[in-house]
Amino acid sequence: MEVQISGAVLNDIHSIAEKNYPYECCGFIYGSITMDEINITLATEVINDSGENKRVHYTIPPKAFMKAERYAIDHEIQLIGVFHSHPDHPPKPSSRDLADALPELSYFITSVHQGQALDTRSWRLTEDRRFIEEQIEIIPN
Amino acid sequence: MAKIIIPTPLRKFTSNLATVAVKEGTVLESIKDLTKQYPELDKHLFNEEQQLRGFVRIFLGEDDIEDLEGNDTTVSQGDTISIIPAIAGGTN
Repeated sequence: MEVQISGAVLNDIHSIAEKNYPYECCGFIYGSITMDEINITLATEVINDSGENKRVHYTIPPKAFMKAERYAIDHEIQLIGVFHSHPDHPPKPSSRDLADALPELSYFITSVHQGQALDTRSWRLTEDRRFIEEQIEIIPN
Repeated sequence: MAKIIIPTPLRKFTSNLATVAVKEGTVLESIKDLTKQYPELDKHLFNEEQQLRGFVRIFLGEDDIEDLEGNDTTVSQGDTISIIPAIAGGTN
């Protein structure tokens, strides 16, 4: 499935990733889904709850997920997935990402090199628990 | 009736419904009413021993049921139950 995202929202994600470097950032992405297209219109940061491990790990607390679900219902938008960063690592899912992944979500991963966000990719879990990449199309602001 | 908020990853098993009305009782009874309505959900929420899977966290209103009376926590009319999956990962 193709993922469309405005340049402004992608910039928001990159700013959050750079601000948190050298730690991993995380958050939610919202928007709409049609039969063959996802449209991301909002990204919101969640404080990484991984404590001392947050250089290499992210955790979204259950209450933050609950609030995100309610936000989506209240604002009649859909919770599309989550984003997180890989400081000084490529934007590909790690074995840990795979182990903890859920179906039906887009997983945005941003690589941050020396404090600068370089690339963001989107991934989705298949029914046999593999990640496949979703093509991202950036919509000009 | 009470209602259960279904997390996005599991809505494909509830005909894409974000919320489902369920019977009151205990938390466990309300969730079992949910899986009775949508049997495909059962294997995602419960393991072979019929215990809630590890990644599933349950909130009643704003409270984690582990801070209340667990699965035996009383659910009253109008209460909102949230099924919350654990979200985690990272570089290593």
